[in-house]
Amino acid sequence: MVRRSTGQTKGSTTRKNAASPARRSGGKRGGRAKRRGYRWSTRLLALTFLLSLISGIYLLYLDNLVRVKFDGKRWSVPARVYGRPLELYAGARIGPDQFMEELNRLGYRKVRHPQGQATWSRNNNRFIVRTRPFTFWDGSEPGHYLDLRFERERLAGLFDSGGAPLALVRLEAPEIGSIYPSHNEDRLLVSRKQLPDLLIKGLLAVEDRSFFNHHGVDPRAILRAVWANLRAGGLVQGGSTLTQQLIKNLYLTQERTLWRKLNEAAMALILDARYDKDAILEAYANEIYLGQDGSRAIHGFGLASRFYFNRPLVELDLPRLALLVGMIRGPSLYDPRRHPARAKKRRDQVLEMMRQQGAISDQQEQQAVKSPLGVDEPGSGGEVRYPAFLSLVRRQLHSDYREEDLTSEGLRIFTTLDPWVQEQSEKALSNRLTVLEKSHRLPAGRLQGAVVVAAAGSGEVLALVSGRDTELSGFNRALDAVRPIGSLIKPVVYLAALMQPRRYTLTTHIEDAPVNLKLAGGKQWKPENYDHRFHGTVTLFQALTHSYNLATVNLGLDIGLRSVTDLLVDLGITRKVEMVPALLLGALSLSPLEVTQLYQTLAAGGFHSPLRAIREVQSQDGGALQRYPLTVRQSVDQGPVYLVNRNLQEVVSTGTGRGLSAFVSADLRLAGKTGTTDELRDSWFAGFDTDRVAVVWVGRDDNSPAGLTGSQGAMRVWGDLMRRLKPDPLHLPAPVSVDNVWVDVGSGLLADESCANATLMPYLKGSAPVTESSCVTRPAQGIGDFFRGFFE
Amino acid sequence: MKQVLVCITISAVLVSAGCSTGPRRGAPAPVVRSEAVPAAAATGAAQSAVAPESGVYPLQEPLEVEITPYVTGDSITPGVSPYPAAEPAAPVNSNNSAVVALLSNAGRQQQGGDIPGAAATLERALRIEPRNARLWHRLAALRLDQQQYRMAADLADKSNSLAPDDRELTRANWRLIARARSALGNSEGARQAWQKAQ
Repeated sequence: MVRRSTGQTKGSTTRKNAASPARRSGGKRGGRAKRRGYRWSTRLLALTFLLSLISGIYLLYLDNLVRVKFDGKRWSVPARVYGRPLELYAGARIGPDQFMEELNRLGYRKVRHPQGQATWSRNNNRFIVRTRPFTFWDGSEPGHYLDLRFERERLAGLFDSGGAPLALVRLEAPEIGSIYPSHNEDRLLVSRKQLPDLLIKGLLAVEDRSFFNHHGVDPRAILRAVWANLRAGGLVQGGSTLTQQLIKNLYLTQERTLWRKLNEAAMALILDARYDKDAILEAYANEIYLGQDGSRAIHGFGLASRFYFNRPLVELDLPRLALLVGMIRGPSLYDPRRHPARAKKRRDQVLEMMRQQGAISDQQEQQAVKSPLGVDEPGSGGEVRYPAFLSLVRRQLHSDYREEDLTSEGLRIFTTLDPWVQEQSEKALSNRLTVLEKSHRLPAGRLQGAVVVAAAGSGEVLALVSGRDTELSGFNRALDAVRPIGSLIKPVVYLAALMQPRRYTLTTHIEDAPVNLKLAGGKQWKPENYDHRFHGTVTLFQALTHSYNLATVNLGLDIGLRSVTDLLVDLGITRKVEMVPALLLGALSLSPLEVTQLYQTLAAGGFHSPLRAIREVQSQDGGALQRYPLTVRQSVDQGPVYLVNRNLQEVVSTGTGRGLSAFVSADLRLAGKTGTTDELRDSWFAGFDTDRVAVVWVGRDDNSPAGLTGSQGAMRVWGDLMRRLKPDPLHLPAPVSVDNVWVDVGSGLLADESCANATLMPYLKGSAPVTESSCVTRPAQGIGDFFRGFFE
Repeated sequence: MKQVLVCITISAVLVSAGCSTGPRRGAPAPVVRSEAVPAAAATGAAQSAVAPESGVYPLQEPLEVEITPYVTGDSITPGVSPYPAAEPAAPVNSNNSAVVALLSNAGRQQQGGDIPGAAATLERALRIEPRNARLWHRLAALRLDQQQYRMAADLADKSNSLAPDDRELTRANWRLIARARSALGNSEGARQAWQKAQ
């Protein structure tokens, strides 16, 4: 720096001398020359002073530049998004295979004898696991030694190392993605303490041997590099210190000019003078660019370790650390996934250098050279594996956070995603669609679909699949494919009717007869049944079970469209609903997510919980920022909902959903409804087991006919999914407002168990039939009882 | 000559001044929001309004729920609730040791004043046993303590719906609902609930 200023001063002086002769000609020689000499030396002094001042100011400016960035927030740290942690307790519904998948997802390694953290072993149905500690928003879970015993699809026992039973252990939450900013830099900060010793040794051996001894610039290294480059006749070695590299990455552009080099050196000196070596190392470790994942740039050793090896930096062994160090020179050149041979050569070179520097022993080197690269399968290292679910998370976060907070403040976002349910949903959809295309001779690859699964009682979204190809983030069908829902509307129509118990019960008769409506505008509306037949007088129960269109339209017109649209609002639909008669047959377009909300309220017995994808948000320093608590609101009376749900069970046992028995046992008594739209454009199925509500849509993106009814398409995906999820039988607790009564369904009269056609039917209190069928054989109870029943 | 020098000096100073970054004042813009009283509170207005699509309940500090706990009425003395003060929540029975452990955790957190923590722990237990009516009741009692009356009543309703035959529990739920309704100024509703609790 100083030298440069003097150089400039000299230069200017010469120029000025050259410019003077014109003046020299006039005036007396001696005194003037003296005075002139004096003047010039003053000027020279002033100029030197001025230039020193300028360079001083410039240095101050550089110093300020260095400090502001280094002291402040050096990087924007993207928010990290986690799925639900797996809760382990005796009796939990987890099979050994699911458990193994869970361990693999977390990057736990299978070994013979688990010693270090994140390792496990298996002996038939017994697992030994050493877990990682993890900080949840509500406290930290320490690392555990776990002894687990499975029996069939359950965790039968959970013990500690001493054999004492453990009540409950939370595995760490699996990371499912990050929300990185538009410049696409993603990183996972690590502290100096988290940097493994061998990583530092490797770094110094390869990049900067005298890091701990120089002052930010290493003249000997520069000379060494120049010499090496001269000998090789090209650029083979750089003389930049780690400090200089950090300066270059953190502050400067990538252009290669002398001016930039000089700036870099000056700033490196300043940085080295101002900060200790450990702070510089830590910054370097977090800044360094180590690869590319599509548009996402992988920065820092912390994220690179996740990205390439799916485990935290502290768990990396020597060969893996050496690979990371080797990649600094050219992350794409030495990409271990794309160029494994080249990457291995480079890694071994690093190992050799480490041995030469005495960082590792001969034996360590030999052993490390023999080991494979150890890179994880692509698609496991914290990449965005669940783009569809993440976009739901983003949408829900955007109502509470600004974009820049999400991408820069290092938030930790704990979501409701259940990776296992998600995986089963993805598989069920993609496998089943392929099967359907074959069996129905449809063009291959054209069918699309979406799946949403939520916890019925809480509204937590467990899985969200937006299409067959789940890795692609594109059109999110689960959120944005707004399609007519067809017969999925029918339970709402029947619920609206059953909320008027004086007029309607499940055994009330309605007419499945031709409908011919004149609409405003003079058009005629003549809906038909799917089988183009009229079924005459039927009960509500039968009409919903078999999804009769005409009976539904007659019923809906009788109770009035207004009562249906009002009920839709109570069930959580916020979209504007057009009040036209065709609404009764599903001329209402909703997204799969909205349909899930609709059926969530049914599945929860009339208790509406807004669908949530987020549980908690935690700040970078571990403080809890926000909770999204469980909320319920009783939006519909339990009684009528119970009646409809019983009817939806019947749909699956004997109605349009009976084909489900090919996938799951009829004993589970699952509830559901099929939906089909005009010309078979949309195939829907919505239903629930005891704890989960799931909705499937199948159709084509261009909205042309898919060629499948609800039961031919979506229901099969749903069935496939349920078979994988192995649900508990659906248990519907009867509300106090409901009586179960034996009736003769044919006549709609009161019966008893001995009657041939008797069925146990639920009724809202006071709405059950009171007239006995002739089949009732029990002794008459007297006229008093009869009248009491009548007036009740 | 001098002018040139002055010019250079001034421009140099200006350039360096322009390039330098002013010292940062204060901390970076915080994202931090306090542990808001959970949304449940979602105030009267938000309750009657339709919940947002796929929505999270609004999270801005809802608070200031309009509370008129003691309504002046024929049978109600101003300033004195007609219903006995809070009672210990009905005991939860679960044969799941995980739920039992979480319950005792929640109890400790509640006693230590960590109400949000206790609520989260109860929710965690509910994820394990979503149909345990007594867990729902515990959460309702907690929300009542937090003066989130609407949410408390809804949670108690939910608890009732899951165990219509557990008379002890349903009575406790109706008493809780009576208190919540009374606090919300619905004295008629409170009276009805209290009758059901008998």
